[in-house]
Amino acid sequence: MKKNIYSEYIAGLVKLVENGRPDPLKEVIYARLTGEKGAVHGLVSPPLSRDEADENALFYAVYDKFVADRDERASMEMRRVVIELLMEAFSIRGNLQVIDALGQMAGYFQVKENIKLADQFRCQLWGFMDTKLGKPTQRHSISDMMQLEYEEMQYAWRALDLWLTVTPTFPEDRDAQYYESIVGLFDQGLEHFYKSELHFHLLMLIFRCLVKIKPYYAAKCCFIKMCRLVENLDNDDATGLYRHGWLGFCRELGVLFKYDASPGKQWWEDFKKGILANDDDLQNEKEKSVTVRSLHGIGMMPDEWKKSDMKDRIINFPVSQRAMNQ
Amino acid sequence: MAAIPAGEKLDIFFLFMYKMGMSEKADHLFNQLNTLGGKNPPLTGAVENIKKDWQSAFQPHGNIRPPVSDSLCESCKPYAANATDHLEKAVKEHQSIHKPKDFTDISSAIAGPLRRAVTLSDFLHYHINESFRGKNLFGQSFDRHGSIPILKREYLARLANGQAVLEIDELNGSTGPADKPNWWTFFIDTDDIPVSGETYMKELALDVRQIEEAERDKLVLEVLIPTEILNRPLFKPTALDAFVPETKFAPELTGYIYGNTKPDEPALQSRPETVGEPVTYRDLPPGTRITVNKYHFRIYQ
Repeated sequence: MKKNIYSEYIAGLVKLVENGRPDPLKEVIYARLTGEKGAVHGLVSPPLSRDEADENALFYAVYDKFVADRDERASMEMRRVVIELLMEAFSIRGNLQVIDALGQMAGYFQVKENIKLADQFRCQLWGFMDTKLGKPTQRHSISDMMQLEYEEMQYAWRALDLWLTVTPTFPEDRDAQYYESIVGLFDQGLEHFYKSELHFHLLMLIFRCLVKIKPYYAAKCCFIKMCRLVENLDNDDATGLYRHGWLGFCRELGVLFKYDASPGKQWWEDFKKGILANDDDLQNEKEKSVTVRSLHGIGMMPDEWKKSDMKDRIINFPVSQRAMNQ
Repeated sequence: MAAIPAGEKLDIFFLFMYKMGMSEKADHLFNQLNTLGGKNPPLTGAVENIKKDWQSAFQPHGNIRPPVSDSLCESCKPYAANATDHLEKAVKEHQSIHKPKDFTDISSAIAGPLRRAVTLSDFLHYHINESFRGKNLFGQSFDRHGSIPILKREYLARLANGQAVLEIDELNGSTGPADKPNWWTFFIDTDDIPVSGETYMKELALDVRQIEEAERDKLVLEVLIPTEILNRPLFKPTALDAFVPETKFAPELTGYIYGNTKPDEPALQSRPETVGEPVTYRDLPPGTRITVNKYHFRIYQ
C-alpha cells in the first residue's frame, strides 16, 4: 500500500495486533472512536477520507487483512479487544456512539464464532439486563425492559442487540434458560406497544432473538403478529420507515436461510415448519401486502408452499401495495 | 542594488499577479489556511486547492465565488490567523450540500444515471446494511454486520453475470453519510465504459484503501442511480467539497460545467464528477430498482 496517513495507521494497528498488545490496541481504537486527534501509542487517528463512511472502515480493513491471511490468532485478538471495550463502556454507561461502533465491529468480527468468549460475554450482558437497568434505588429485571425510561432504554436495547449478535443461530439447549424470558418480552412488547421508533426497534430485536434461538416458535406464533403490526403501522405512516425496516430484515433472513449450512440446516427447517403451521392464519392474510412481501423476502419459495393461490400471489407481487395505489 | 535572479523574478511576478487578484478580506483567510497547512501537512494539497479554486481577477473560472467566498471570509474573520480549529468546520459549512442555494444546480445537464464505484465490503456495510450512525433505528441491528460474510456470497452469486438488479427492500443503507458531499460520476459517451475496475478506480481518484480492497476482492462494484428519481440538486465540485487530508481533487478551472477527476497517471483519462446529497434508498419511490454493475479489477483475471 502506498504510504499515506491512512496506510500508516492501518500498518500501526496491524503491528499492535500481531505483537499481542491488547491494552495499547484498546486505547488506540477507543481514541479513534472518541475523536482524539493526538498521537496514542505513536498512532494518530486520521480524519475520514473523502468517501469514507465512518471510523469503522479502517478497522474493518485490518480485520479483513487477517481473515485474508487466515490469521486466526489475530482475528481472535481483535474480537477480545472489542468485547473488553464494550464491557467497559457498559459498566460506566459510556458514550452510546462508541458502543454502536464497537457493536458493529463485534458483529462483523464474528465474535459468535468463539464460543467461549461469546458465552462469557452473553452471560455478562444478561446479568447487565437483569440486574443493572433502572435507577440504583429501583432496579428493573429483564422482564420490565419495555417499561424503562428513555435513557435506560438506550442501554437496554444495545445490550439486547449485542446479546443477539454474539448468539449463534439455533444454539439448542445452551440457551434454554433464556427462552422463557425472551418469549415473555415479546408478548409484553406487543401488549404494551405504542407507536414509536424505539419501541418498534426493541420489538424487532426481540423477534430477531426468537428467530435465532426458537425458530419454530418465532415463525408459528410471532411472525404473523409482526406482519400485522407493521401493516397497521404502515397504513398511517407516510414515510414507510416501519415497513422498510421490517422487510429489510425479512430479506436478510431469506439470504441467511438460503446459505444456512449444517447444523443450522435444522434452523431453516424449523422456521419453515413454523410458518406452515400457521396456515389458517396465513389464509386470512392473503390481501395483506406486508405479509406477502415478508414471505417473499424470507424465501418461502413456491414449490415449498402448499396453496397455489397464495403461491401465485407471492410470485406476482413485484412492487409494494403503496406503489400500486399511486 | 543586487540583481534579482530570473527564477525569483518569475516568482515575484506570480506573487504580484496573485495578490492583485485577491481581495483584501481574503488575505486573512488565506493566512489562516497557510497556518493550517503548515500545522497539518496532509492537508497541504487541500489548502492549495482552495487558493487555486478561488475566483479572482487572476482566476475568473475559480469555483469558490461570492456569496460563498464572502461568507467564508466573514466566518473566519473573528479568529486570529494562528487559531485554525474553526477553519475546517467553516469550510465544511460552506460545502455545496450545506448551502445549495449559493451554488448552481447542474442536475438537468446530466443525462445518464449517476454512478458510484464502491468496494464490495463498503457496499455491504453501508448500502445493503445501515451503518451511518445516528440516523434512525428502523431495521438496524449489530447482528446485521455478522451476516456480511453470507451476504457477500449471495451478492457475488447474483453478480456472477456482471450485473444485478436490486429491489429497494434489500437496501437498508445509503450511498454515503448524510453530512458529507456524495461524489458521483456519469458517462457522457457510450465509450466511457471503463477498461477494468482498477483503471476505473484510479480514474476516479479513489483512495488507496478502496483500491487495495478491490484488488483483494478482484472486483469493484458500481451503483447506478437514475437522475430522474434523484429529485435533488447536483453541483460542480469545489475545493471546499474535497477539503480532506491527502486529497486527490484538482479544481476544474476552464469554466466547464462539471468537475473532472485528475488521475495520478497521465495515461488514464479523467472522468466527469459531480457532488450532491447522498441517497438513502428507502427514500426512493416504491418499486424503484437499483442496478449494480461488477467490474473485474483486472482484465483476464
